[in-house]
Amino acid sequence: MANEPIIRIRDLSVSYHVARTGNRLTAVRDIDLDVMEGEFLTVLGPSGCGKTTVLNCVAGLVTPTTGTIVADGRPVTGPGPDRAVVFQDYALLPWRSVADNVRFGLEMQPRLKESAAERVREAIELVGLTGFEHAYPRELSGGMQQRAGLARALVADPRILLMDEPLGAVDALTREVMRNELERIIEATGKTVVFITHSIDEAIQLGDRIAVFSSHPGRIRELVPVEAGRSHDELRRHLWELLESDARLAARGATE
Amino acid sequence: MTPRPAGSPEAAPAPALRPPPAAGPPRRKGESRWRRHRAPLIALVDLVVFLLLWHLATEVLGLVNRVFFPSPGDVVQALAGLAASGELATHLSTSAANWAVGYGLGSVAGIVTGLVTGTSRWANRLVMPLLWSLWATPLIALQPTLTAWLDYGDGPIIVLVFLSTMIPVALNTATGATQTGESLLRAGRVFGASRLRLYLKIRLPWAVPYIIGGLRLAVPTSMIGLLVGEMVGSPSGIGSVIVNATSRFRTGEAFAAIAVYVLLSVVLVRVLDLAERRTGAWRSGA
Amino acid sequence: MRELKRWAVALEVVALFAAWELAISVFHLASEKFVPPPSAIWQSFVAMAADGTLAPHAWFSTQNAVIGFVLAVVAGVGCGLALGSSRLVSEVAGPPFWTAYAMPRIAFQPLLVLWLGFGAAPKILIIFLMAVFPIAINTMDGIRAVEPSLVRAARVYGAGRLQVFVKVQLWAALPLILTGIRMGVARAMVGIVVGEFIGGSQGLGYLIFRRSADFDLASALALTLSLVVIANLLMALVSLARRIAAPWYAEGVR
Repeated sequence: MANEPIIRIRDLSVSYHVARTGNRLTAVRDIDLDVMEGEFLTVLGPSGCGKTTVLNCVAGLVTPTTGTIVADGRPVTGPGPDRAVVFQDYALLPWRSVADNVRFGLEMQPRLKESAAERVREAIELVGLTGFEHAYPRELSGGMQQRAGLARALVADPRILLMDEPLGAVDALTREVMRNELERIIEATGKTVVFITHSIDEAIQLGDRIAVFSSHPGRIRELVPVEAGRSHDELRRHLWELLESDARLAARGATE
Repeated sequence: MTPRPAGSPEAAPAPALRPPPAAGPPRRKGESRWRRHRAPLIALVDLVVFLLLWHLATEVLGLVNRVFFPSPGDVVQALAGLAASGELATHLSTSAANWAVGYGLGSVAGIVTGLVTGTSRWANRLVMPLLWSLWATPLIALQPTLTAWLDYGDGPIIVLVFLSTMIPVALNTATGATQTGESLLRAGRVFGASRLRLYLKIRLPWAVPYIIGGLRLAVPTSMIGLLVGEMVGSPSGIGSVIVNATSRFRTGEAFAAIAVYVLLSVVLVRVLDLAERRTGAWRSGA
Repeated sequence: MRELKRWAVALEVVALFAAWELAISVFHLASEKFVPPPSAIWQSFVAMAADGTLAPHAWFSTQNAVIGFVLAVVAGVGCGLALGSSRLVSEVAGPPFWTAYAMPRIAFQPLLVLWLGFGAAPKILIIFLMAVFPIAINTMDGIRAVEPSLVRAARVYGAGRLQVFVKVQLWAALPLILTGIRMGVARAMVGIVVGEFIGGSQGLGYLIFRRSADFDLASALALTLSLVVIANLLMALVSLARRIAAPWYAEGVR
């Protein structure tokens, strides 16, 4: 049981019909990926390489064209309480206070009704938002909004946390602080995490393992373990080599 | 999604008469043929079904008294009659002339007011609330008083068209002029532009799409002004045809006159829509 | 300075009326009968209120307006929700909806009188027809403009179609629905006036018409100005309602 991956992706491909050109666009192709229980997997890749698509497939928001995903022992057919998502744009409901936004994470699960108040309080405390329960999202900084987003994801105690560039929209300084916070919180909860990022340093600092994506079409280029023996700089150089050509292409505007 | 007819002032967000970036929902370019033509096709089918049902209800089944509710055939016949007798041409030219004068003067006045209002903070603070308040109020309530002042005929109609054109145009122009990007103005100053140059090279081009948006918005509102003026206190014009025909139970003629109105406003809005898309291309990125 | 800013508009309005008063009463730039000064307008307003002319007409207009407007809110929000949230509804019912919208509705007023008589019915109907479209269109836009990521978040946390609608889309659309209602108020005012101008025998609009025809311009202007005041008060009220019902909606609010 211990060796059984908690997320198992096999032969995953997703292609869209592009109305504009009438063609099919392959977002990702032939993805095979296993994520172990308690692992922190960071996903690194240029924009438009389909990392978010893979994450959305695991979340159950996107139906794969081919391939299968098994999460927590069950095939994924739609969103489920075992998986929670933290969004890049926070996706907090602007008409709800922080506490009510966090409560949203368990509202649709009748089994948690009784413990709701306690869970909400705990989640808010865990992410360090105590005192801001009654604030509206727009009254909070980006970093604090993402704390609320994280609390909402944690409140129903899912086994898997899917994070789509959660720090992509906060400023650089907050980002540093939030990274350390994230490390602390994830360690405290022992969740399995899939974490998308653009930042090589973030991928190294947070990840136990790094999945490097390449684009056109999106596929996994290499799975890089973050071992204790390897120096940060060496790892950084290796990752940059993997990403360089794609990144240069993207900078010249060849997205999509 | 259904293509939204151009010029829908009600769709403007918040207070705004802000011209929508493009008319209606984003129309995806180059969709497959069926997808692209589906909406107009459905609309066409709807129209045919509607006309058939109308015909059926009035002429075949006789559900309503045709004195009160004409059949499609009656309307076409009435329209032909109006055209043949020359009445249509007479009334139409009166309406068109009144509208053109009021709309033209109103546009000029609106643009000037808007530009002045939009450039000075104090002018903005003093004039904008009044303009918004006038936009909110039923200006057509002035019609009887205007008639008392200017006598029956073209005078009050032109004034009503003028007012209902000027206010939306001024509001939109002022919005455009005030919303000129601060950084653009700063950039202009950095490159040594004088006040006048700043105005001509940055503020004005920025406001142009807003002005045209205002002109488009003013088409339906000015049409309301025209209609009310003609229906309430005028012996000539398409609006008077509606009133007179109805009072003589010639509903076919009334419908025909309304149809002419619809056609006119649709054509006018389309023209301005096109102009807006031309001049606003840089803004909506379309 | 700050105080001055706050009262600038009020001072401006007072100054405008003062100038008007001076121009007529002191400098006699036009005949008082022809362009009545504010003082005369106010006197006729008080006189109409005192001799009982005003009340029944105002009551008639108010009744029609309330009935027509409430119906417009119910129908407008309903149609807007249906058109905005279902692609099918929008494709099938959209074209007739937009066609009806493109019609110059007030042009039908003489026909409405012919069909429904000289009573309250055609007035209520035209108020309804004027107000219903901005409400429906804004509701529809509100539903459609909901951030896709909010809907995605709701689905992730287990919301079904109905819950997404009730917990996310409806709330997100609320500010725009209220904006539509605000615009509806302005349109309804036009409806009141047109309805009573054409084939009316009661109501404030009719009274304006009557008094103008009798060349009692002071009364006509008094009534016209009252309509202006009422329209602005009502719009301010809806704005207030929006601030209370949707306090989170801060951007771009007037």
